[in-house]
Amino acid sequence: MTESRSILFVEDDPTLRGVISAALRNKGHTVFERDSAEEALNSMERVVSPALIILDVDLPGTNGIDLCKRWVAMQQKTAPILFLTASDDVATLAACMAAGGDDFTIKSSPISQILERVGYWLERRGRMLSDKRRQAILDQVEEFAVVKAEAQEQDKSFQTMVSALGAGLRLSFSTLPDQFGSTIAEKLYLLGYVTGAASKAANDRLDLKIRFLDFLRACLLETQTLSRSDAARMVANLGQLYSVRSFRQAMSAGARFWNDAILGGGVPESLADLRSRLSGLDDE
Amino acid sequence: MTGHNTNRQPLPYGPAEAGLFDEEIVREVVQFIGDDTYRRLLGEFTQALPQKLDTLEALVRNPDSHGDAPMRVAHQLKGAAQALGLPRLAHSMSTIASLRDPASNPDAISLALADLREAIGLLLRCPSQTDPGDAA
Repeated sequence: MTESRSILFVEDDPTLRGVISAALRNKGHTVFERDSAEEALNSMERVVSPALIILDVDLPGTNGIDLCKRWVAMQQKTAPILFLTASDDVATLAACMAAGGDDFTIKSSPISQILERVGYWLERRGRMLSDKRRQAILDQVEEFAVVKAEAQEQDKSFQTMVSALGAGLRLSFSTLPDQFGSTIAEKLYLLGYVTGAASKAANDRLDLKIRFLDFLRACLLETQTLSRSDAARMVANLGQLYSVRSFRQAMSAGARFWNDAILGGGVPESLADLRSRLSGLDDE
Repeated sequence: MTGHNTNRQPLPYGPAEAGLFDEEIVREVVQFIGDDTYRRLLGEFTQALPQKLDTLEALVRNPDSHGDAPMRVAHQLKGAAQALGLPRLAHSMSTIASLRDPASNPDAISLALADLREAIGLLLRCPSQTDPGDAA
């Protein structure tokens, strides 16, 4: 349960601002609403130590990215900044992070997911991203752009692709021959579970999508390196999404895709065979 | 949550307007902000729409003098429509927002604007626009 905190919310659209602010207030938080960068700049000292700043990218006049830069330059960025952006355009997301932002979320995401991101940052009690971590995310944003372009080129949505991997890996758990041993099978199952959960998250959570891609690549290249604790941590973070209906539907679609794309050639004969078939879907 | 009555029928529209709303989104938003707040925000958004649409139409008909203003207005309205679970409105706004050169796509603009006017007409006749209590 996140305790009550003060949040500075800068967004020029009254409807979107109204929806998110009302939801945050219903959770017990204090929300200071501002509809422009200029108002936000003038009011920082009147907002008693906000625990989080939610900042629209596309503000009229001074936009959110420039406002963030100004706060950083004036050493007035005293709280994490969660950017709210209308699209997942990679250049915009990279600009958000480069300006000093700590995270971003897409406006069209379900409100539950926007609130989940807010909750995550409130739980951190004002702790902002380190420069090193920010740079790592920037690097991953660039990498995501490449992966996304490749996925689009193949005319497969990212969600379908990842769903297929997840469904397939979990199916492998039940179909892999005994000689692979229970350890690898267990790891494949966990990896499959995580993959499936990520497929839903990836649709709306670019940060998870980016982290997950790194994780998936590492695991597929050397499945044995997936430790139980790593897998358990991922499952703990993402497994809750299994209860989401749209996620289960995505999993069904993924399973069908997997059956056509991978199991069309029968049950994989070996881990190498499985990887070989997966390589047709991923960019490895 | 703060005292929302989620047992009563929360949908602020009748069968005639059902095609305008994404029920799943509406129910989720109502769950988080409450039925009354949703109705208020929907009402404010809807009442302001005709004037905003006039502004948008003027901008897209004379795009040269307004830079990216048409796209910005359409983009903002799209975000608001999405937040309230109005996919038809959001789609038409998205069509306009995605046209880099509205003047070169008069048919697409006309279609999107006509659809918006029809959708707004339906919205304005929503039960929630006339008597919030009756729709519950």
